[in-house]
Amino acid sequence: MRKNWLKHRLSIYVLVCNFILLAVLTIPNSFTVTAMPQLPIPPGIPRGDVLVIENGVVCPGGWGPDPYQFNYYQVGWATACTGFLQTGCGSPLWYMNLTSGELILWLTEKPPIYSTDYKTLWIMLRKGISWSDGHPFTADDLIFTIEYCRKYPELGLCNVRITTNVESVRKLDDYTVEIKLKEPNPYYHYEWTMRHYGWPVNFYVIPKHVFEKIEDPVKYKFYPPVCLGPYKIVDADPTGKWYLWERLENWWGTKLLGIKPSPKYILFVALGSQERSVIAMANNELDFTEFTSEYVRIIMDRNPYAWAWNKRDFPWAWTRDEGTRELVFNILKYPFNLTEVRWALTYAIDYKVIFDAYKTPDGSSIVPNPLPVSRFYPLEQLYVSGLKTELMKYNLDTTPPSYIQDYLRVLGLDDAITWYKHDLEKAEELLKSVGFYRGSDGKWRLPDGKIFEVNLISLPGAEFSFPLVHIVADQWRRFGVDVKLEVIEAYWDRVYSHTWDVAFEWPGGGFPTLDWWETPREWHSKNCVPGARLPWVGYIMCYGLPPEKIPEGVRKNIEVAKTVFPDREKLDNLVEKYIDTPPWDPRIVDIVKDLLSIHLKYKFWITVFSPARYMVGNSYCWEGWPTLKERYAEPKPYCSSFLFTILGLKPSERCPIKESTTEPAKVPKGLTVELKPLVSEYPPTVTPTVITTPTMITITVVEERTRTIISTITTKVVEEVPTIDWTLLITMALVTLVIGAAGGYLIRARKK
Amino acid sequence: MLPKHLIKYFLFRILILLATIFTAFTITFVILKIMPIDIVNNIIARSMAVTGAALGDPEAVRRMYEIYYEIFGLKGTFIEQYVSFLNRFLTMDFGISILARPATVQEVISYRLPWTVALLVFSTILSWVIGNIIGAVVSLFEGSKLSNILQSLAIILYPIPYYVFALVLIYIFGYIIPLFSLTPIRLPSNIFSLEFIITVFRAMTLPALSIIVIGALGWWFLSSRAMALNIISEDFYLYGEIRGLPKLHLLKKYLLKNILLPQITALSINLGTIFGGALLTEILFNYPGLGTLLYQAVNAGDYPLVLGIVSMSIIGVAVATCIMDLLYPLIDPRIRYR
Repeated sequence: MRKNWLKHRLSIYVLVCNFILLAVLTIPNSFTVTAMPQLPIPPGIPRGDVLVIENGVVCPGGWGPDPYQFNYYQVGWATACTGFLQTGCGSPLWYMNLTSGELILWLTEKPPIYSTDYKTLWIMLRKGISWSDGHPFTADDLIFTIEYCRKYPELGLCNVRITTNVESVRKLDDYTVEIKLKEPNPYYHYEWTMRHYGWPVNFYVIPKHVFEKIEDPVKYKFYPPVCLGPYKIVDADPTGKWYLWERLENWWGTKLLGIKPSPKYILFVALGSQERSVIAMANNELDFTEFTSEYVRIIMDRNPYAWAWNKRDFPWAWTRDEGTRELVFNILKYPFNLTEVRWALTYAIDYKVIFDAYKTPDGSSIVPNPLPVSRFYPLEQLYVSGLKTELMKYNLDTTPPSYIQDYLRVLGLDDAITWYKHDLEKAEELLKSVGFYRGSDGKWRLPDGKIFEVNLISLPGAEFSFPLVHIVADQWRRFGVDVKLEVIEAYWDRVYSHTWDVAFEWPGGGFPTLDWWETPREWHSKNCVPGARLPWVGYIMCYGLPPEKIPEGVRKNIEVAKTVFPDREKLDNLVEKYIDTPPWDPRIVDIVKDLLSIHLKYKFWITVFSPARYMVGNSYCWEGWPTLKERYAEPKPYCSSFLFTILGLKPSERCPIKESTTEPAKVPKGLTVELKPLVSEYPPTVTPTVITTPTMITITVVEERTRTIISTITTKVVEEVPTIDWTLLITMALVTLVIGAAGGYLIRARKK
Repeated sequence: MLPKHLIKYFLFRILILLATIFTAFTITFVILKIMPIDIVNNIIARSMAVTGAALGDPEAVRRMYEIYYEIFGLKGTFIEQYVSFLNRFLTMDFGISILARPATVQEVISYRLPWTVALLVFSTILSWVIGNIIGAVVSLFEGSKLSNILQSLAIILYPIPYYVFALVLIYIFGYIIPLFSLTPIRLPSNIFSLEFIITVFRAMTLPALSIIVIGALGWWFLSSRAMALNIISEDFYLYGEIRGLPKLHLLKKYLLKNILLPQITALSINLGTIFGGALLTEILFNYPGLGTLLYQAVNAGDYPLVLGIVSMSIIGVAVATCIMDLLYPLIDPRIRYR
C-alpha cells in the first residue's frame, strides 16, 4: 500500500515540477523586462556613440581561430568574416556603387585609363591621402603591393593573381601608376574595384612603409592594421567574438572630401546564432544584422524599431544579392550529358512550392529566376526581360500565381517572367525520347534497365540550400527519380572529386553593369585543363570535347560520357568576343545575350532563384537605414561597401550620445561617375588628352535611386597578445601532481 | 622507501600511460589522413567560389596547389608525414595552424584554453561534488519528502539534453529576465579587480549552470544514490547502524568512502576530456572554447590544429587515468596491500 502511495507521490512530484518548468517558459511576452545593454566596450562610452553590427548569416561565429590575423594576403585568409577590417579599414581604388553600377572614385581622382590596345592601365591616385599612422599614401604603396605579391609565391592567391595578369608596373609620378598587362584586358580595373566582399575579389593596397620592414611576409599578421578607411581598431577579443573600431578624427576623407561618419565607435560582434541575434536586437544591444527567414518574423514582432527592407511593410526581403542559386549538373557523366535529361529534371520542379517554402509572413520570398542572372537593374531589363521571347520557347509559366506576380512588381521586376512551368508530361516525354522508361514500381529506368539515380549534394549551412535541396529531391522522387541527397561537411572535397551528379552551387549572378559578370570567361574549351574551376561551372568548358581531352584527374574518378555539343565552336567564339569587348561597350549586351541563350538551350545549370535576404536595421539608436524607397546603398554586411550604409546613418534621440555626429556623412556627388573607363593613347602625365570615350547604354528605371557616400580609414593600436607556454605549464603541473601523490603516500605510509 | 611491488606498479602504470598516448595519437593521425578532407582543396575552392573567374589562369592555380601543399607540410608519403607529426607531438610543437596561419597551434589554443578549462573544471568538479553528496544524503533519508522532490527533479532533468536546458536558460535569463547579456564580454585588464570577477561570472554563469544542473542532479546524483542504496543494504552498513553509529559517521566512513572509488575514476576521465571542449554549450552560449575550434579544424582538415587539440585531450585523459591509478593505493587499501 505504502509503496503504491509512494509511487503516486513521485508521479505527482514529477508532474508538479514539469508544470512549474512549463509555466516559467510560457510567461507572456508582456512580462519581458527591458535589459540594460552590456556591451563589450570600455566604461564611459554612451550607447548612442556605438553602432553595433553583426555579420549574422554569413559569419555567425566570428572570424576564425586567430582574431589578430589582419593580413589580407595571408594564405587561407577568409573574406566575409573580417571583423569589419575590409569595411572600416581597407580601401579599394574604386568602389562600385551596387545600386547603380556607377564607379565611385575613392583613392583615385579619375576612372581607370586604358591604352588603346588595353594592354596598359594608368591609375591616377588622389593627392593628399594619408594612412592612419599619418604616412602619405602614394604611387609607391600601390607599386609595392603589386611587387610584394609578385615576389612571394608562398602568398598563394595574391601571387597567382598578379603573375597571371601583370607584366610590369612603374611609377610615372608620385600619384600616377602604369600597369602593363600580359594580355589585353579591358576588365583589369575590376581587380582593384570593390564589387563584392573585398579581398580575394578585389585587391587592397598595403602600406609600403609597414610591409617593407617585415622580415618574413608569410608570418606577418598586420595587427594592428594601418588603414585608409575612416576607422581604426581599438581592441579585439582574443577569441574573435568582437572588434571595437573608433572613428579617425584626422581621416583624409574628412579633410579632402568633408565626409565624416556619424558613429564614433563601431562594435562588430559575432553572436553565434540567430536566437542570440534576435534576443540582442530585441534588447537593443544590436543595431544591424542579417536574419534568416525563420527568424525575421520574430524580431519584427519583438522590436517595433526593427526595419527590414521596406521598413516594417511588405516586402521585408532584400533580393539584390549578386549571386543566384543553382543546381549544377555534372555534364560529363551519363545521363546528365544529355540535354533532354537536364530539361526533364527542370520541368519536374515546381517553383511555386519553393516560393511558398521560403515565404515569410509579410509575403516576401525568394525571386524565381529562370536565368543565371541577378534580377536587378540593368541585368533584369537587358537580359531577363531581354530574353523573354527566348524563355517562352522553353515553357515559361505564362499563368503564374498572382501573389508571385505582385511580389515581382513591388520589386520593380518583370512580372511576366517567373519560372518554367511544372510540366511532368513534358518531362516524361523528354526522358522517353532518350530511351528511358518507367519500371513497374513507377521509377525511371535507363535504357539498359538500371534505375535512374541522381546524387544531389549540398554543403550543410550553405545559404539558401535549405529547404531547396530537400524540396527538389522530394519532387524528383515523386516524379520517379531515385534521388540520393547528401548534405555533406566535406562538400568541397566531394565537388572536386567529380563523382556527384547534381550540386547546389552559386556560379550565377551578376553586378549592375552591362557585362553581367566574368563567369563566361571560364566556359571556353581552352579552360578544360587541370586547375580550372571545372566542377564549379558544371564542366561547360569540357562539353563537346572528346574524352581524351578531359583532364586526367576527372577521367580517373568518373567514367566520362560522350558529349555532343554542336555549339562548341560558337560558344568559344562568343567567349573570345566577350573577353575582347570592354565592359562598358554597348556591343557586350548582344554577346551576353547570345551566351545566355546557349546556356539556356543546353540547360547546364538549373538556376532556381535569386535569394531573399533579411537585412534588419534597428532604428532605436541609429536611424537612416537604406530601404526599398531610400536605396542609397546596398545593406550587405559581408561586403566592404557596407561602409556606405554606415555613412548614411545618424543617431536617434533615444540613446545618449557624446561624440557621434548628429547628421549622416555628406558625400560629394562628384565622386560617383559612370562606369566609363577612359581610353588614351598616351600615359596621362605625358598627354592628358583622352582620345576615346565610348558611350554607355542608358536604361532608365523609375524607382532606381542612388545616393552615394564615401569614406576611408586609419588605424593604430599596439597591444601584445600574451602567449602562454602550455607545454611547460602542463609538464610542471604533472610533475607537481606526481610528487604530491608520492609525498602523500609516503606520509600516510609513515603514519601507519 | 616505497615497497618494491608499488614501484613496479607505478612503473607499469607509467608504461601503460605512454603506450596509450602513442596508440591514441597514431589512431588519430590515421583517421585524419583517411578522412576525405583536403584543406588545400577547401581553401582554393572557397576562394574560387567567391572570386569568380578572376582567380587566374588554370596553370597558375595548379602552381598554387603545389605551393600550398608545400607550405602546409602536406607533401611526402604517409610515413614521412606520420614521422613529421610524431616529432611535433613529442616536442609538443604542432607548428602553424593552417586555418589561422600564420598563428601557431599553441597560440591559437592559448586564446581559448583558459576559457574551456575555467568553465569545465569548475562545472565538472562542482556538479560532481554536489551530485555525489546529495545522492548519498538522499539515500540516507530514502522515502522522505526531500528525497522524493530531488528524485523527481533528477528524473525530469536527467533525460533533458543539456543543450535543451541551455536554451531554456538563455530564454529565461537572456530574454524574459535579462540578468545576463548575450553579447560577448570584454575582460578588464586588471584580473584582480571586482569588475573582472563580475565579468567572468557574467560570461560563465549560464553555460556553467547548464552543465552543473544537468550533471549534478542528473548522472552524478542518480549514480551515487544508486550506489549508496546498494551499500546501505550491505551487512557491514547494517551492522554499523545496529551499533548505533551516528548518521554523519555512517555517511562519511561507510557511504561516501565506498562511493568515491568509482566516482573518482569517472571524475578523472571527465576532467581529462575537458580539452575537447563542450561543443554544444560553446555554440549555444557563443562561448569561446576549444570545442568549436576543434570542430572548425576537423571540418577544414587543419591537421596541425586537430592534432594539437586532440593530443591535449589524449594526454589529459591518459594522464588523469594514470594519476588515478597512482592514487588508488591511497584511497583503497586493497590495492595497497595487493
